[in-house]
Amino acid sequence: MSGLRRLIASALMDLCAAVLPTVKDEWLRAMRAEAAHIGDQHAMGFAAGCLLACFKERLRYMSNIPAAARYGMVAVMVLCAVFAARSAMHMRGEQGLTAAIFGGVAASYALAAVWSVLKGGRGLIEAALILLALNLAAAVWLFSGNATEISAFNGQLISAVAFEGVVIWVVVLGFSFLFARIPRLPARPNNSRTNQDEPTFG
Amino acid sequence: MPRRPHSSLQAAKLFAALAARPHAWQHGYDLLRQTGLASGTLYPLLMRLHEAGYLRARWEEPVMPARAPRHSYRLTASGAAFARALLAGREMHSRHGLREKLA
Repeated sequence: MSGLRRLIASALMDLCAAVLPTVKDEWLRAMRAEAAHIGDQHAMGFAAGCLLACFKERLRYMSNIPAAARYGMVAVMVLCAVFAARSAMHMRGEQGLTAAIFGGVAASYALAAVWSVLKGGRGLIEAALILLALNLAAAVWLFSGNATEISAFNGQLISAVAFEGVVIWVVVLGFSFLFARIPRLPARPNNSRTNQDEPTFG
Repeated sequence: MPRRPHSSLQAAKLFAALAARPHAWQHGYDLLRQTGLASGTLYPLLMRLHEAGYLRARWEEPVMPARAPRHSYRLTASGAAFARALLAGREMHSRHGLREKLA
């Protein structure tokens, strides 16, 4: 059993090597050396933690991702807003309620996009939270049986928009939280201090 | 107000462990046991403190039963000063909180 644990620990440390940025090779060697020193019983947990540490470091080095992801999401919101607004324009007149639904969707996406641009990552999280709550409320309202006065078509439309909205905003929120946790790094992380004034062995 | 960098509870535990033996070189596993942190928390912290210049790292020749060189760490002068300030601040904060609770 201990051999199996050691084998898994070794495989996890190999994964670390694939994940950790190459500028951190010194730290990879440090973790490997420590994992080799630890008893078989604890080596697997230690190696799993090291893998988590390597993912954290990798995310730190992806410092251009948060802004790119935010603007990517804003671009998608703008496209959704334009699409919904065009649908609303086509339906106004003969299908007033349907047009209003599309108009509301367009307005919500447009407001979320503007808020995200103005307020940054935090704005994106706020917009996603508010719209997620609205979409959930719409879904609950539909299922509560209070929506009897609207036609079957509009009921299905609202239900589709609400569920699609829940999925979209949960995804946006997940990404926003993930990226909001990444601190900005200095332009060139300095790893040269290791062994700066100490002899190197091995 | 933005939080001061390297002032989390985990960082304070690490600073306390390193500051307790300021002249000793300590290994990662020793620090894990002293602080109770997981390796997934400890190593990113060590890397950040090293980047900030608060920590020195070196390779040590193996001492039995170790068979390979190990990385060891200790605070720099600026790291020791930061640790003193951080730990004193946390102690004052906890005393203040206790006094408020008692009042």
